[in-house]
Amino acid sequence: MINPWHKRANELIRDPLALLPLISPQPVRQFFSGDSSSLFDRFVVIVGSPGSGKTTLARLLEFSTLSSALDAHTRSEVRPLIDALNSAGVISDLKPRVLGVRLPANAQYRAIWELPYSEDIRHKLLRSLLQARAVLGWLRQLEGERVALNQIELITTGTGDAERTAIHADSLDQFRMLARETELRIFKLLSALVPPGEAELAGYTSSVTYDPLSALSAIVIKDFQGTGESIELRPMLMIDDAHELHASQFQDLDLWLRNREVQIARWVLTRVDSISPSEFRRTQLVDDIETPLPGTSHGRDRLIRTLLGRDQNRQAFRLVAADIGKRYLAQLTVFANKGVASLADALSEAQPSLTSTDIKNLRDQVGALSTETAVSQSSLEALDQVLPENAPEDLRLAVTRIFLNREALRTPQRSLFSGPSADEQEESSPKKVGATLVNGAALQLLHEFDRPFYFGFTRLADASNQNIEQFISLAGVLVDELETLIVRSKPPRLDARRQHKLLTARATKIMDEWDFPYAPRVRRLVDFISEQCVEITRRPNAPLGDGANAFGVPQDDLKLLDQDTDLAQVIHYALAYQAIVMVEEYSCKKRQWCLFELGGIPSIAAGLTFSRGGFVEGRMSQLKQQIDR
Amino acid sequence: MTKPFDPVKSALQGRDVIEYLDTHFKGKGRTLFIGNVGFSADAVFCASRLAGVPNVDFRFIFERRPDVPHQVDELAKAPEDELRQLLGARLVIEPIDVCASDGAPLAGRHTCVLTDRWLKSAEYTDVVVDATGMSRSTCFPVVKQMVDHSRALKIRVHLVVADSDGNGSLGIESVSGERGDWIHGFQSDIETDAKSGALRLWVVQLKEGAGPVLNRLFTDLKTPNEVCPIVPFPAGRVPTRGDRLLFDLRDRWIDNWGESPLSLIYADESDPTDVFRAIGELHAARQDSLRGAVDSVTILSPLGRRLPSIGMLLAAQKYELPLYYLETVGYKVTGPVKLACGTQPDHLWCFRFLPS
Amino acid sequence: MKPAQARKLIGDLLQWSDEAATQEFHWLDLMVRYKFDHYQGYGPGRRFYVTLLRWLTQFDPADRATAYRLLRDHLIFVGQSEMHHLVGLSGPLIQRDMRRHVARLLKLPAYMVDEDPAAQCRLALLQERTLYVGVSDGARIDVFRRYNEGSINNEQVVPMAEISEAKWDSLHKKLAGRLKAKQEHADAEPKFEWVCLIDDFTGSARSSIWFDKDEAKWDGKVGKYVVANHERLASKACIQVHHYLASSIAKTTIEGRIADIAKQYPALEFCASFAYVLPEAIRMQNAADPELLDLLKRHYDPEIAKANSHLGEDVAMGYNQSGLPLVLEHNTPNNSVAVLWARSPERSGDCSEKATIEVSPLFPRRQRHMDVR
Repeated sequence: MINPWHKRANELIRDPLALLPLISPQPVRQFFSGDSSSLFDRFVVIVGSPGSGKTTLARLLEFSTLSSALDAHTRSEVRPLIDALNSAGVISDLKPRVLGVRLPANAQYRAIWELPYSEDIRHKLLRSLLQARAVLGWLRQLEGERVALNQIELITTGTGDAERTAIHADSLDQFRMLARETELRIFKLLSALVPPGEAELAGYTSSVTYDPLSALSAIVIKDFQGTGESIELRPMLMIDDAHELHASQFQDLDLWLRNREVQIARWVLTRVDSISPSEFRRTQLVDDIETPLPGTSHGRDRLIRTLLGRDQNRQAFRLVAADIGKRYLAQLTVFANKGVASLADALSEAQPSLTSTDIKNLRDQVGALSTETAVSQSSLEALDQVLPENAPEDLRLAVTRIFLNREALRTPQRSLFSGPSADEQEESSPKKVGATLVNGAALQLLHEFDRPFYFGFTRLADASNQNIEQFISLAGVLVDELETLIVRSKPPRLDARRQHKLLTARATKIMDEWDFPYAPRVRRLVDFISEQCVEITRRPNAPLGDGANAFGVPQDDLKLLDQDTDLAQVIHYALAYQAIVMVEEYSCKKRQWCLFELGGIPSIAAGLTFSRGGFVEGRMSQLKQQIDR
Repeated sequence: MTKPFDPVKSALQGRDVIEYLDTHFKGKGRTLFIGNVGFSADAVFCASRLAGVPNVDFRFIFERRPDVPHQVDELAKAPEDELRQLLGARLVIEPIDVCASDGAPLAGRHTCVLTDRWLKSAEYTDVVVDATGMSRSTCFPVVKQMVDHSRALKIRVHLVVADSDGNGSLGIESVSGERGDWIHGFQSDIETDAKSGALRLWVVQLKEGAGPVLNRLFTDLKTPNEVCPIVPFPAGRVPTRGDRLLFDLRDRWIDNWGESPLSLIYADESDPTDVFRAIGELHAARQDSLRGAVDSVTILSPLGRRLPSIGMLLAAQKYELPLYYLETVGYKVTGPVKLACGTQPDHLWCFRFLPS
Repeated sequence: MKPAQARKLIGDLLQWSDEAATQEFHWLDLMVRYKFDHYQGYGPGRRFYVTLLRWLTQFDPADRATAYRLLRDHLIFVGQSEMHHLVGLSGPLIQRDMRRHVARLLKLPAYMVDEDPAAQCRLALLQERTLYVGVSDGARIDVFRRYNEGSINNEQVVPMAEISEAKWDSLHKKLAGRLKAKQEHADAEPKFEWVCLIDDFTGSARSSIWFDKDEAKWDGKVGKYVVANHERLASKACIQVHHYLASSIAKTTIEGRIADIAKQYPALEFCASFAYVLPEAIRMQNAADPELLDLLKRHYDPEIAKANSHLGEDVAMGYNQSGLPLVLEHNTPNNSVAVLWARSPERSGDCSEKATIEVSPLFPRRQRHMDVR
């Protein structure tokens, strides 16, 4: 029996019918919320990190997957997905409305850039190959759903006979033949051990100029599924992993697909590091629909949409994670038989407590500090009011300790709730102060007494960087342990200590197994930032509340990245693999910062908070020093 | 009637390779020796045996990688110095970037242009390709290129490879790129429409710590229908190595690939002909049983120990099979780094391709 | 017993934490399905989990975790697929030895054998005049034959070392027929010039070849074969002693003994080959686990040796103190540590005869007539 928690990535699941029950409809609904028609009538760039669901989304919109979903529309686990797709206009009346094909931009496309030809020819070869493969992919998908070639009609709007003839739009056999020939010729160029010179490309002219997408607007299927009815499908091209193309190729793709003359739906899915940081930052706030550039042709536009959370409200991802947890557990009979349907229910949120010796130790520290600082009773009572009612004694003591240490440092006029001191960053309401202080205290107890911190479903979801794959990877170890408990006839519930230990070990293992370009130097970077953050988190006065998880540099320091390609590369891969997250133009203490925030995995490994905002101040040159060490 | 010359059946091993290097090339026509400069101590051995033969031109590739710790660079100096001492002015080293600045794999394409130039620079009767220490994405296209030329130019091609069991360069682990690619020249026609419906059988070497790499390869290959993992057995000094690999990588081969122990292929870590035979038998059996029913493609991915990878090369060469690979783009130093002493490698193999 | 239930009991016996249990359950699950349950000494209702439970309970609770380490960290279980793979490796390995032999005969470098027409012809003749003899059931000569279909004639393969006169006549007749059918070999003497004696495993070389001083003759499968057949073979014939799997001690011993037997039979040549030689380091005496080594020696019933007197006085570390942690899917060699394969003999009800320790095997051994390897 295959365990979906070990499979981790939906792209490893071949069969659409096996994939569908595992796809949560929430992210799909979220993605298509608002005016979804704009996702199909213009060029769309979708940005996400590995594991964010880009490829799953693209696979979902492929015609074969849509057809499978429609065939299974009565199944309860698929129905919500159907509804989401219906709302998006991808299907209607239980019929598909798009004919999607996903083309991973693999190394062969990139290899076109290495051919010894002019840039113009190389761009044309790429466009031709993509179009040939799109055409062939559409036809294969249709044939896979038992649509014969003679049922297919190609609609070309706004073009003349010459364009139709050039692509053989009136004969599907020849239409396909031309696409195949184009593909084969370009493939031969790519696979030649030593490619022919440009002067010898005479025989490849038609392959270089193959351009059906400038003519095609729709595909009609006659007598769809034997109903006698015709349906019209919008052809859709999804170029996945477009960051694998050379930058010049990506630019040309951008130029080509923005063009309104291309009438099909066209998406490019790419990683966050392949678009500029400023572009990325804009997309965090709104959908970036760019207006035509001055001096360019009429009608160009492009929409950028991200698959990352737009703000720090993690609630949406928690719901997605909970849904995924349910779906995945349902696949394992051992849990189904035991009636364990929700992962959240199996993860205890009961606060752990320190040993009596450690509590006494803490009490003694607090006692000594109280005497030293001579804090008033009213101040202590004010503190008590902002602590959660059910906070256990050790947490209360730890918060009190922080408060007392702050008192020991501050000037007489200031109180706990007045503005920040020199080493403190901004704080807001007392209630928020309470929550962050409690977390900060808990983290200090983790470091000092090994008191568990990473437990409960909420923290598990928050640790995932809103990345589904990361969630599954972390949750998987908890599920394995729960399975053991069931086998051993024990209650299927993990206490805080066990959850914490498993997650910490898992996070450490993931980092030890990092195997991507520059991984060793990324590790050094992460270890450096972690050390700095742990130090400030452990400071007795908890200047940042719940501590730091980022290294902040003045925004202007980013100029160094433009000058230093080596540093830029390391940062590039650190971002790509979510070792760090970059938060630009973060306002704090009336300055603009760029935060290099640790990802969820390194944060767990180091014992740090997941909240945004706490950072260690530094300079980019320090990061540079670390990676050069 | 003499049988046609079979490079695998006539493979030379161990002391027979030394005898060959020591005796065959003397008095022959001009020979082009293509090797690789790096931190593998074994990579000097074959060149050192031919150093005294005046009609041999030594051309070495230096594979440039973007992320190499300075300790590893330092380690590579000793073999290079040794080569310079042995060969003097006859030693020519030219660099090749294994990947572009954006990480795209380049090694095979650029190497073939270079070696084509070398080959055409003189009239050679023999070409020796020393695969020791050479990346697969560099070595395999060069071998294919030379074997293709051997028919046209009537040259003899000798593929030699040395390897040692103890891991001659301790404390170094490779760091993989993130972009897999078909090894140049071994794309076959797998990415064309004609093969889109073909069943994909993937044969891949298992290696310690290769979980993320295997994941990437499997995804890149569009989740092949079947996978036959190659498990090392015999496994030299660690008989249970295969079992440990299967346990450590169980998430991959059981959960991700949906395979069972019935799919496992065993291969001798020190004998390339073993993997060659296993792949040949598998490929032939599949072609035979699926003929007329459905098209099938066998895709190979070399990982881990070099000698079984050479077996994959031989199989790919003979049966025109595609090879998919993830390049090493750097190294990680995990312990004290040291070069093995310059003793004889534990394993030596030579495969001869004679012009037919 | 269902696996989940068994794992629960094993975890309780070994007092694993839940964390340790998770890891070990995965390992057991894999290895049981992949290898252990296929052991041919098991049967329905008594496969690995049940046997493991029994095996663990024989130890004092304090020793169980140590005993488990033998299984977890040291055991080498060679499955049938792996053994068949060693069979498959053997044909090409033998062919390479033949090439070298022809090179020596013709005073050529080895590489010339495939390039020189005369050498190719001589090699082809040698290959025709080769006999492959399976000296035990374990030789899996049927599997060997299948792996070498097309390159070895069926009439060159015999499944037993003791060949009747009638069979020899038949073999020679068929050889003569094959030689006559090829013009270039028509005049060659129809006698075998290469005999490959094939066996599966040797742990000490005892069953393979040894010199019986009392009888002043060579014994073991190879020894007996040479004594019985040396005059039937071509002059300067080569006897190749081939094992699929061997311990390092056995390899050294065999190589030494064939050098000795060659002195007594100068008309013959001898060579030894092995598809896989297990490294010396695997022996439990070399295991760097003194606690486990102590348990292996301590948890032993002397009655076992009495019931198997041909094995020697103390077989706690296996026959000839081989100390192997080895199990083969079809049987466990007695060179392996006794706790893996040995069972205390049954005793009468008289308490005075009850052993302090009663050993129960994890992979029970099937006794053979010639129970020394």
